[in-house]
Amino acid sequence: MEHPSFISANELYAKLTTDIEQVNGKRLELVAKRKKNILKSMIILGTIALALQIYLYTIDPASLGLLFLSVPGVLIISWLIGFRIGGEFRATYKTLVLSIFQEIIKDFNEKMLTQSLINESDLKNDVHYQLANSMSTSTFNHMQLFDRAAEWIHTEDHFQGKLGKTAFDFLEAHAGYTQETTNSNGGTQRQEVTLFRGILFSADFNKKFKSITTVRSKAPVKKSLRIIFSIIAAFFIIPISLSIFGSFTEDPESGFIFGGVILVVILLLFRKFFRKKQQQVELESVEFNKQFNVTSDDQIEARYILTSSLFERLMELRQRLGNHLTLTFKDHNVYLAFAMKNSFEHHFSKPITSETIALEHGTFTSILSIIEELDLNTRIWSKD
Amino acid sequence: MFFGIIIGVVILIYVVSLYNSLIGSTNKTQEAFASIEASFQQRMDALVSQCEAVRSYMDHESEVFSSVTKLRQNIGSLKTSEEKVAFDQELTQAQTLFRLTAENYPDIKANENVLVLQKTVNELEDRLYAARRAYNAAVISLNNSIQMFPNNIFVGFFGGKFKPMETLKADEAAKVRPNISGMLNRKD
Repeated sequence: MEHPSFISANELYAKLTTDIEQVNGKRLELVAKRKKNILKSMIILGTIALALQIYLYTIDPASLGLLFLSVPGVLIISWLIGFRIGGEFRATYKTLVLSIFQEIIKDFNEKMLTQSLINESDLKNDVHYQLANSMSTSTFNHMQLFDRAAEWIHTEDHFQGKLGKTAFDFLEAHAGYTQETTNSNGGTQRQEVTLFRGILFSADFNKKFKSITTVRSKAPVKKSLRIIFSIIAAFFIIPISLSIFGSFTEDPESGFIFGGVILVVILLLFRKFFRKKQQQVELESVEFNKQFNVTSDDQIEARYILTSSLFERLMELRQRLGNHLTLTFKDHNVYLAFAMKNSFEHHFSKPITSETIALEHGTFTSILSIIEELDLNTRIWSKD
Repeated sequence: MFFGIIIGVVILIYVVSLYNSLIGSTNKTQEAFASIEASFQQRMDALVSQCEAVRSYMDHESEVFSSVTKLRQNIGSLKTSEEKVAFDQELTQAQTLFRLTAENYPDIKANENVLVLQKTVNELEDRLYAARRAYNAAVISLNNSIQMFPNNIFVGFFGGKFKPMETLKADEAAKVRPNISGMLNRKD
């Protein structure tokens, strides 16, 4: 049976009229407060600057130009006042964002109940929200979404809920590590490198499994670069072999062959000792193998999770969410990471209109659609 | 002389590496087949439990129960891989037969125990399908190693120890509509 669709942006706007009016009212209050504060600070600071200037002028008439230097100071302070008010508005706006989220979940769950796709006991419309820093680096690293571990993480807008039978949560994250480099003077420089910036999404997967399976998008550009590098490397191996190993024998040709043997042995040893514990999983779909790189510690469970219908769904998801899609199937959950610009923000100088609601609605439904696109609410397996 | 020794060493390293890699691939196919075998007992148990749960509703459907009993008796006598593959197909057919027969009984469809068992069977079938796919992937990988150039030249050195294997044609069998009436009329 086909699952219900999400509430439309127009319906949502109609449902949230009272909340929107309240937030807009608060916004106007804050705009007026900001104007008043700026005016107040300009009068006070301007008066102080003028009095100081008059005093300095009586001591030294040449100091008249200092009055102009005080102007940027007054403007900076006024901007800071505006910034503080922006922070106050942000908290108010987030309550509206949470209402939008709640309405989308509630509407969907009730449709599921009406269509008998869930029972009363499954119905859970509660949602949770945390503004900032709700995830530690250890939790992020536990997801094993990336090849290397993050050393720091900043998160915001963490939403949690249950859509149909599927518990989920998602948040905005910026994670990375610190790289130390030595400059030409022998000094050490520390640089923060971004590992990931975007949305982290996790949901209860509809099947039980014990293994860890990772699905990472392949970057076509990197593949072509690899080929170019291989060709360049092949050109360089011959002269390098000759220069390194040529001296072992009188005959340069034999030296080259000797060098070649040593290189083959090194490559074989490298392959043997540095092979990853996680094995590559070659799946039946040529197109899927072109788009994704799959590794797992259990070949059978990887295939239990990645059915042919899920290949199609993941390829469609990649088309929609972009080339940086990464998934891990672990602890009976699916974890996803994909790039997305900073969302759920609104500048207080602009009123909240139907377009604002449509924008937030679009972001939420785009993220929540993952549950439907991966068909996580279909639970014909023993996991309910 | 020196040149010959070098070539010999390169070939030796290659042959040893190829032999080990083929042993590894063969072991992987055996491991994958073992997981298919492991699923027999689980699926058999699930099917027997389902039959027990619905016996009171469809007691007169004796053919269904007798086919399950026969399969249960045969499970211990399976020796060759061909016998195991045939058993796997018979088990799948028995499950399909059971499911189709049970669909005629509305009381069964509403029975909580049967629903739970059905979910277990679905899961086991999915796991079995995954095991079959893993086996086929391992077989294809082994066959590629044996048949691709230049490995195909050197494989002969191993005295026919490594031969291309057949993949499981489970998908082909699934395309054929099971002969329900034939199974029901079968005499044990």
